[in-house]
Amino acid sequence: MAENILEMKDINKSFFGVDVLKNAQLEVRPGEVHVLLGENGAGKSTLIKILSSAYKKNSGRILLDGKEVNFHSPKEAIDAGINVIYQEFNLNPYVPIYENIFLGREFTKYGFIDEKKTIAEARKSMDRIGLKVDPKTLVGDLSVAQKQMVEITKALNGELKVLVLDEPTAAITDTETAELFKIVRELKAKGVGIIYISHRMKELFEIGDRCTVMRDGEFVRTVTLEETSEDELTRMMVGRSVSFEKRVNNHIDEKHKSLEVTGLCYKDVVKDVCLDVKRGEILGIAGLVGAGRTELAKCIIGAYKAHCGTVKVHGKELENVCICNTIKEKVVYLSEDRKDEGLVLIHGVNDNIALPNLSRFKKFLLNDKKITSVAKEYINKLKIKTSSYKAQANTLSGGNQQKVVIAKWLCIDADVYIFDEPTRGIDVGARDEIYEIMYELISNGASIIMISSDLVEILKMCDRVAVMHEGEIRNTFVNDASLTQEKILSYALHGGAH
Amino acid sequence: MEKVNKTESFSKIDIQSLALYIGAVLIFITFTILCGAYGKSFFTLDNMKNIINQSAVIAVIAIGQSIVILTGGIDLSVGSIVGFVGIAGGLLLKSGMPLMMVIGVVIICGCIIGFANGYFVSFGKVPAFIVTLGSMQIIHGLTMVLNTGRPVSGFPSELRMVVSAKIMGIPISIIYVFLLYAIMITVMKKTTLGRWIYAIGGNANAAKLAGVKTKQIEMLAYVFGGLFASIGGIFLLSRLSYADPNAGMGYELDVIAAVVIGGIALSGGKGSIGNTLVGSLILGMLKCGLQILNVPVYFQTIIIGITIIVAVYLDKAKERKAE
Amino acid sequence: MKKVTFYTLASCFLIFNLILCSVPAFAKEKIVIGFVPMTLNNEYFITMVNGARQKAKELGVDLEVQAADQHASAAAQLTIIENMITAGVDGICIVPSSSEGLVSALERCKASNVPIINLDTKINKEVLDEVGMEVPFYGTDNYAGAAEAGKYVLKHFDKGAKTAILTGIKGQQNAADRRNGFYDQVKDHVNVVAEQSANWEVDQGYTATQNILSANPDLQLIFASNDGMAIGALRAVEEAEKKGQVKIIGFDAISEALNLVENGDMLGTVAQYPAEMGIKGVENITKKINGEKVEMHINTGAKLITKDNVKEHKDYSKQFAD
Repeated sequence: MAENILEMKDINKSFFGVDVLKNAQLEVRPGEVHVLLGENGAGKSTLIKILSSAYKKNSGRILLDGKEVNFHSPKEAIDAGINVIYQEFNLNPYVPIYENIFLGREFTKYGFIDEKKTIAEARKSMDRIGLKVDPKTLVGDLSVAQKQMVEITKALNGELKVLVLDEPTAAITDTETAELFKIVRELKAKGVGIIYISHRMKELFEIGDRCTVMRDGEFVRTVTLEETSEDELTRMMVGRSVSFEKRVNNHIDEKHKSLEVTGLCYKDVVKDVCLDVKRGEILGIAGLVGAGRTELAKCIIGAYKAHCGTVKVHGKELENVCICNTIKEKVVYLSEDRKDEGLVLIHGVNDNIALPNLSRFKKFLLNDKKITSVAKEYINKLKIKTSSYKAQANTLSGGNQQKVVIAKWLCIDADVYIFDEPTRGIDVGARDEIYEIMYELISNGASIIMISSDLVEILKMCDRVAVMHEGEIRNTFVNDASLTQEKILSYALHGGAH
Repeated sequence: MEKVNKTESFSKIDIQSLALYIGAVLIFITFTILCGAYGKSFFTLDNMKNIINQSAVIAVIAIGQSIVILTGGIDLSVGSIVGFVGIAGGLLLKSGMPLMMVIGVVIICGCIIGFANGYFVSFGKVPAFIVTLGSMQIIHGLTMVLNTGRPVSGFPSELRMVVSAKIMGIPISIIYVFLLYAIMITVMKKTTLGRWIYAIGGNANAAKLAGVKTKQIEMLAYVFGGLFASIGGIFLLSRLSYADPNAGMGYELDVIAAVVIGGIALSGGKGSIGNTLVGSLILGMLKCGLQILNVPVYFQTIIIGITIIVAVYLDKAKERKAE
Repeated sequence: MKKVTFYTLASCFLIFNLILCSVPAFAKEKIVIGFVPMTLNNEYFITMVNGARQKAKELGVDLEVQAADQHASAAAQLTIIENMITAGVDGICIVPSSSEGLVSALERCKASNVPIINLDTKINKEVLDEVGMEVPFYGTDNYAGAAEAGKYVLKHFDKGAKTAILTGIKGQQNAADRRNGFYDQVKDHVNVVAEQSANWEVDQGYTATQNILSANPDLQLIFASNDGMAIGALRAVEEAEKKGQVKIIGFDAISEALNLVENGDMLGTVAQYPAEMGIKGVENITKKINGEKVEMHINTGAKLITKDNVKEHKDYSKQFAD
């Protein structure tokens, strides 16, 4: 047997003439958890998609068990033992677990599907990894962690040589993560080569053996994780070091409240919420997913109609809280969901930036030249990496897409920005740039509400932190030296009641 | 800097549009050559006018359909509106109402039908396919009821003048078509309304969060659908000087074909209205050329079917390449 | 980019090879006659076209046949006529989609000096007056044809026999003529218990008959204004197991109906002579083009085909089958 179960050599790939991968390398040994690390847009996903044959490579070689392979379809890759579990699962939510597991490999009897046998087999393989649900449950009713287990079960059903986990812990809880790691270790013991993609440094050190770092589509280095540190990895990823220190903010205008919300209610997800943010201040909203943070933000801007409560902007109460009014009052919301709510992916960067600002470019007809020049201005200002000012938004990497979302609202020159998970799925380098933009905004007199699940980020950026739990704000802290992640967490988890 | 500008202006015509234009020109050249070989005339001024004249009804209805499809919807009721406009307009004319007033009334009728369609689609959340499938049946039924299924004929000659009059030798229908397209291209490219329609088709959620009144705009798209269908209906009524309750049946499919040949994605958000005109003309050119060449009717439908698929196949070349 | 162009080119050539294969060879000096039936998806018009083709071959003239692909429509016929004029035909035989719908098309012919002969469905006098044209008409009288069926019923059915009539598309002249021709003959003799439009369609004839039968279980006779609806009616009657009780008369004498008459499933069907129309049409338009005088009206006749004369009619029809 070859030393490496999988080798990818000198892989090149370009989209629309832009090189995405330049001589990328990856070597995975059997029984190893190999971490693939890099900023968004570094080419990790592309490399994986080439491995699974979802994309065709321009050049390069892939060796499985020392033999060169050339797959023509994802199915061939799966048959050869390469399985990828993407962040967005490839499961049909409308059919039961067992059908998903055996999709394309159905047991048949006299030409009909043998349901009994399928269910029994599904239960057997689910037991093997400890997924304790009825195989007849619809996949749509499962939690994210459970869906992930279903995916793994599906992968384990064939011959498995290489398993790729793409950000497997992004949306699951700590206990679920522990479960997942147990399974990963079992697979490791069986000699499966595991490629593990994640941005969470702590996790990497816990589960990973070696790590390959990529930057700008190029291979940087493969290191053994025991012999390196977080800082070093970060340096390799971004090419420089990053700080996690809280910066002193002396732009706060204590006397001027830019936004004041009182008694806001929405269904049973937002309960009697009061908050305010001062000019030049960053207010953090922490809490678990599902605590009602996004709903609160959408109520403030009027995307959801609140049942009760008032919204005051610069001390003036808004009579009709609806999106077009709040935009006029210069209160804007940057969605956590870039793809579904932030951008029109099939439109150009310029059109996306212009969308909420069209009235600015209009005399009688729209002025295309002005739109173009403004778009170019923001592309330069925010260092958006794009092949052209009118490239389709979906050709950009996650971080750059987020910058386009920011640009379209910067262009409005708003007073209050509500950032919802502004750095989710964005790499460290781009993250820093987004933080810089936020600092610049407050120094120019804007106010920011930042919703984030990343407590490090909350502590680094915010002046005050409101913690939400089950629709209520349970406490608001001033972010000084005494505020710790643990303190915020205890409120986020059980509302502070010990 | 200058160099950059140059490449930008060159790339104003994207590859998809270019393929469409090349295709249109190639079809044109081929017909000219083939007709020449068989001793018939295709490339004559009269026949060019003929083709545009024959395509005018479909081309005009296709404006409205393009707008609806750009929002990600579809309007199947346009064909039945054509029939309705014919009978309703015909009866009104027969009752002695002045021509201009009749035109006004039926256009308003078309807008009301579009409004109803749009209301159920955007506020009622009923899928567009279903709403307009239903309204297609309702309107066709209404048309039948209006004159107990009989056609209306015997109109004053001024009716025919609405589209057949000539200005400096150019049939006025051609002028209408180009004028309506010019207006709507400007609206779609150069006004906030147009941008909003594109944004809704591209991503309704994002558009809503950007402050676009998505529901109202979506409804408005269907009003456009009804408006241009009724204008198309007037064109047909005037062209035939005869109103048939079954007129316009199946037009919705021809119109959708023109729109997709023109490269507007059925999923919405992408494509240009100007290309819809090219799509309509390609269809008109095929029908005319094939008939002049005396190709049997069922071969004509085969060839038109192939053209639709080939056009969209070419349109997707970029996406295939990206894979 | 190059690839796109290549695809475009390749596909165009593919399309036009198809055209080339389907275009019959053509020489310029010959007389060219345009022939426009309502559609080409029913036997009646195919027979008419075949008759016309045979005559055209005999006379050594070229025949160009064009029709709407699905529904007969005034709009499609106008387009066809415009394109035929562009293609340079010398004369046109046309079956109008409706009696009043061809004003604009006739205007075009008049303006281009292309003579016209009207077949099968008569163009209204008002329309001809409006255009200011005189157009010969060759065809049968639908009314007289249906009356043949009525006369047969008078002779062979008892007074008060319960009768149903299936009519064609409401508002069409031939639908009205066929209905009236039959009805005017029999109205004092039989008892018409039901009358429904089945839009010339087989399936609608079937459902309409089902409904009529459940309302009138003792029905004795169905007169269907075309054979399609008659065949639909027959299916419904068979399903209701009333074949002995309910007799069916159709119209058009399509081959399927003739078979059914032959083995006794249908009582009869009214035959018109579409091939005759095609033949007379081509013959006379050629004369007209050559400047000769032609007859303004020819009645091509109609006859009720029953078991007694079905064999003879089949032999006649054979010569115009494909």
